[in-house]
Amino acid sequence: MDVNIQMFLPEIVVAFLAFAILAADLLKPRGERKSLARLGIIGSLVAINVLVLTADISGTTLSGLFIQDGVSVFFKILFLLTGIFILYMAQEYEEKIKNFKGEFYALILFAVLAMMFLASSNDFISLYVSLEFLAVTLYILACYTKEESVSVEAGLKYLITGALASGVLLYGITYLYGATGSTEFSQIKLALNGKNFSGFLAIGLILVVLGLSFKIASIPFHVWAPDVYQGAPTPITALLAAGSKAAGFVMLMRVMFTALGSIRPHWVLFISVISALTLLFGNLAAMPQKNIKRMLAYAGIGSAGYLLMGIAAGNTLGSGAIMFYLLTYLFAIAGTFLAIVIFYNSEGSDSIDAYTGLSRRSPILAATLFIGLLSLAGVPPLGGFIAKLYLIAAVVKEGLIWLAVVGVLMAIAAMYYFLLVIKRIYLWQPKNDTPIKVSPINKALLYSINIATLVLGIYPGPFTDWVMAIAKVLF
Amino acid sequence: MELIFFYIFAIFAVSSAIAVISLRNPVHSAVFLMVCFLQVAAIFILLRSPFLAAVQVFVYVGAVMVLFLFAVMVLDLGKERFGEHLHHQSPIAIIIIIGLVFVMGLGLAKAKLDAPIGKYTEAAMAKNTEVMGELLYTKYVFPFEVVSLLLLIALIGAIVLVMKERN
Repeated sequence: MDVNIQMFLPEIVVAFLAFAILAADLLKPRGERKSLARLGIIGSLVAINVLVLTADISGTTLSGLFIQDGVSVFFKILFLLTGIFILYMAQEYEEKIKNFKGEFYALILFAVLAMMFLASSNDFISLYVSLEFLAVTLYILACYTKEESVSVEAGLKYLITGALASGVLLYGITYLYGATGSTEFSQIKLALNGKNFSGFLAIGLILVVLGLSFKIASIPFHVWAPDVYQGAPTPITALLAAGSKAAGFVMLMRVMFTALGSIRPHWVLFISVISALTLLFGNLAAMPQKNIKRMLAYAGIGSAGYLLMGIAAGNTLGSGAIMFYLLTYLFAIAGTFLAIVIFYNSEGSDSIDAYTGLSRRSPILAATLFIGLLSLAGVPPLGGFIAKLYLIAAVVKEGLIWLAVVGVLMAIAAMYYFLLVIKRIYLWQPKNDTPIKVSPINKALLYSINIATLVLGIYPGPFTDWVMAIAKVLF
Repeated sequence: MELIFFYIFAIFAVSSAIAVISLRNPVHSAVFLMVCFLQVAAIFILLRSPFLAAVQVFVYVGAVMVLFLFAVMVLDLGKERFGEHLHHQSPIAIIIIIGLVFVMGLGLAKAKLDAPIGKYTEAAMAKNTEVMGELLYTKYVFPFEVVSLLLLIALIGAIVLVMKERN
């Protein structure tokens, strides 16, 4: 058996870090646990450095079950950055969780570790096992504020839908194995060469896509998203939105492009229909929402629809666009959710009503929500606009004009409901106009996230060149 | 001969699985789940995988189900009726399931299995447990390690969610 330890050195760093936090939690006297989060952030930065230093060593190891290539390196950097933002948000949110236990930070790092494993999975067995690892970690985190019934409800709903979806996925994998005689993606690709499209393949393909739709919160396994997003602790909602969705898409890209790419004519309509339905449902259902986390959940379902457009396109442009979209999405989500956490710490409410007149109370929070929400909606010149443009260009290139039309229309719908929130923040008079205090570190962080979103929109060239170059390895 | 046994086990497995979800008393459901697991173990033996069959019996029937039954009895869930929480969804569910079975049956009827069957000959499969063990620690060492992390997390999660802080 071949073992090239350099390929999974970053994972080893993150695993050690998570265990170190578990141990440090035991040794520390009772009281606040913010230093553990700081340890996690520093460790994650070290892991990013290790990853960048070993990025040029690519290939497969551990008997071909583990792959390191441009795509996995990109996603691992994305996941580690997500982890850093989430850890920071979590230590801001610590006081809001009753009976807080330090395992929270370790579990967040384990979730990041699971997502990194997913990015490197080159086989259905390692994919499924890593997926379950991620799912169990997120079930625990979603019901962490167990004193509140909404959080327990969130955890239970997430668990039950998750178990069902994972059963569906596993059942689909057995069919694909039956049809091709292998679970490894490159072997499946070889086995499909010059083969007729059979019923086994069709059933396997449909079930695998349905099973994976749970992680990305697209139709038909989208029902959990609003309740779980609302009930989970806010940092975990951000983790579900930015991290879990990206993890779902790296899996989908590997399965659909690398393993099943040669039978694309048979699945393109199926994925396009799911994409269109998800776009319509997510964006239309977001309109009447009264709670900002719930609204972002529906908007997140809509985003899954956009990202599925890239899968439906099935070309380098589409997969590069998915990666760029996830990058802009991470910064939009990080800024928005950090603002929501700071606002919640001061006001104790997540309802959109409470945000009335925020611009007069805290200009920086208002500006962050302005930039974050408009980037999610896809307004120029922000990062989200460029990302949506690439996705729409990718489907037009493949001749799926109707899907592009749905995408454009739903971008307008998204603009409508996000602008309603922004109107409330900027144009309405606040009920009480006591300023909301934002600490200098928070301010600096919010500024840098906003600048990142702006840079991704105004000067996207280097980033798009990068993702388009690495997207080639998938095909 | 083998086929007859397969059908016997399969029919019992499916009907006990239906019993698990349709019976109202949780204790009865749990017992039928054990029956279902035993049938699946028997099917594993038909597939020349005695190791999996043994694991199925020891872990699922032995440990997990007995623990589950204990929990059900200690918590006195036997009195709880699941029916009260269902909102007349069963007709829709039945229609969808029948449709799904029909569509999948149609797909399977058209399909034929032409992939090469596994590389293990009858002789190699006689040493089933050895083959499994070797694969787990060589080829599949990465998933194996991930599963160990998964179990650790499950353990931590159970403690974190149940533990009460002493004041």
